Amino acid sequence: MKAYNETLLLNEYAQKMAQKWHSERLLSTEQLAEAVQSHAQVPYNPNIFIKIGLFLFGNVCFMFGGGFVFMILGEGGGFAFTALLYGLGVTFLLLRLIKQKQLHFAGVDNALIYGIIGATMPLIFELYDALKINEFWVGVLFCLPVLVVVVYSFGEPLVALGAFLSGLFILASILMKTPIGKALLPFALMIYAVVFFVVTRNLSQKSSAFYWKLAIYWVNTAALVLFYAAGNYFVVRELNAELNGLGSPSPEVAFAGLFWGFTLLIPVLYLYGGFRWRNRTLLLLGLLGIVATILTVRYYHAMLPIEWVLILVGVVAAISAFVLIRSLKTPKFGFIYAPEKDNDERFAIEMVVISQMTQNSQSVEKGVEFGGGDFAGGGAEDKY
Amino acid sequence: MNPLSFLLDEWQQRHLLTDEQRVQLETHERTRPVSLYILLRSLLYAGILLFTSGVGVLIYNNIDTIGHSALIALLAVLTAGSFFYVYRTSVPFSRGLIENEAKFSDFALLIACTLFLMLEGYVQWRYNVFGTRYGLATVLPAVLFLFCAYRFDHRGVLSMGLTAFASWVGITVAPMEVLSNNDFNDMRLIVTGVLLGVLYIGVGVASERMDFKKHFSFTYLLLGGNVFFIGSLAGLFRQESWAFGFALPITAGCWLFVNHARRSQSFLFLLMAVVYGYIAFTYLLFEVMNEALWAFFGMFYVAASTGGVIWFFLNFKKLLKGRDEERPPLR
Repeated sequence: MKAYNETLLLNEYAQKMAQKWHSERLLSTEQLAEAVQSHAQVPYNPNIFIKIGLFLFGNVCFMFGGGFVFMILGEGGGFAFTALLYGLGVTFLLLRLIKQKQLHFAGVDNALIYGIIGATMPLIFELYDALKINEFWVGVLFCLPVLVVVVYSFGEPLVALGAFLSGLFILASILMKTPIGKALLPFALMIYAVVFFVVTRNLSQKSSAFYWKLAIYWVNTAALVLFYAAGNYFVVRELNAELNGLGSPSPEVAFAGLFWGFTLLIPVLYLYGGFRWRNRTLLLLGLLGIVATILTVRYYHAMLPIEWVLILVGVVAAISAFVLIRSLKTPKFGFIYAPEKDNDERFAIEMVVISQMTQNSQSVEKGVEFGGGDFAGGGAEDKY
Repeated sequence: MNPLSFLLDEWQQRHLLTDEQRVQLETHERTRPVSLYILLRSLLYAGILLFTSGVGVLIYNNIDTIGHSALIALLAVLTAGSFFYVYRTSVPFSRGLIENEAKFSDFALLIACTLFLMLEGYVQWRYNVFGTRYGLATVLPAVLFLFCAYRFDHRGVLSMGLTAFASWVGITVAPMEVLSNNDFNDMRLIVTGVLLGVLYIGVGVASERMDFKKHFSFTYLLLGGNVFFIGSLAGLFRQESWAFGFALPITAGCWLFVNHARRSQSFLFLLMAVVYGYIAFTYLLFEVMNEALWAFFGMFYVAASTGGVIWFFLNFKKLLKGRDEERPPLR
């Protein structure tokens, strides 16, 4: 059963789109008013800082409330049982709160969801202990149903990510039992990533999966990261040495050429995909992948001293960014460089960074410390 | 069927849209240009950061062959060049927000100010220009940055200036280091910190009221508020009889921040007021409470009061509408 009211979420989406189209002059003001009226009820969506506050106090409240309950009930039916009871009580409370206040990921519900999952853990732990299985992955397997149920009913992105990683852990643990499994590990993980990528991509195009939109997006991104990491030569080679106890320096792996191919091609593939589908996440992952690839190549074949690599990469990155900023003033290939609206959280982050940088380079007595890249990269993101 | 078509279908059924409008909207969504603003800016920063780090390492390794004087000369030229570029592309001073057409002007100013800091540190280390007058060495960048921030309308440089100014009076205001870098066992430093916070908050509020660089007040209040509250809390936690006196400035600060958040819709300040106020209030309560009650009542109090704060956060829009001037944690 879905914990949140899906109609409200759809209304939120409808209102957001209507506002956007209205600001782009595709909808008349009457149409906007009508759209807002027909999707009047939206979830309570507080400002980001209020969310942070709700999250913090929600966590503290859950903990101390738990402490208080334990003090009153004692450990009547055993610790695990009381914890579960408390978890159930909080679940009931949370569902009421969501209904009454029309919350949707407002911070307090996220905090309580994590808390509830935590409250089920002692019972799983006792079960695991009682069965005397010394396989850690079995314990994770016991947790998985809880996570899946929570993901289904709440669609919380972090929990979805946890479920994805738990599945990954279980798969890897099972494979590592046999030598052949160890050899196939990178391929298995890549297949796991591809399966999740394809499934989440298809789901994101379905309106019936709208409820889990955010969770789907997070898992989709995680699958992309995993796909690169599992095929990366450095990861494969070092993990192979680690798992088989081959010591360092790590010996060459089988199919080395194949993994080099993955390392070099996957970021390019991501960039191409990002370009074709006009997807910012893919573009960003592609750029990060390139950085990881450069580091990988350098690790095994250091052709240039590090400072020249830094200079080269820096120049290429800065110049390409500079050129793109210049040329994307007018839209090209479906991309544009348009200043986005400033908001408080951006200012706050920018200010913290700049202030830190200044503080660190203020040590006049000590003189300049080279090599630390003393340059502030905070972000002069003022509007133009 | 994706959510977009689903929505448009629904609107069509309600006769909210005409058929051609629907087609138009769908094509628009399909071909809408995606903005790469943040991505490209980050790439530019990352590139410059990498490049400068590389040059730094290179110079460091070859310092013997280059020589310090040449390097200082180069830094000076670069600094002057950046400032000159900023000056050339600048627009006349105004009291409000300036929209500068030159894309890289604000960027150049940030670089110029950072270069200036490096240059100053370098010159001091090499030639000991300031001798032991460290005060002069720290107040100089502060004055320069604050001037530049106001002249060229730059929030980033303003926070650099405020950080430098705070260093001059001996306080760290960099938000991540307020706690770790300040020796808050020293009463003099506590008072300095609180006073500095008061000064920044005062200037921030004044710039709002006088409509002089209104958009700077966020920076003033955030940097000032942090050092003010943390300084006051450090004073409150001291085991002296008069330490409770610090409850007054905290109360006043919370009241001011809650009001400011209400007026400016900047809820970061509401969050600050509630978190710091809650800490102070809870501490005071436990100070005056009988120790025998701590264990039992303490649990209950924290659970109930955090629940109360959550309730406050969920309803603050209603609560803050009227002339409701209670401190949140007291509710």
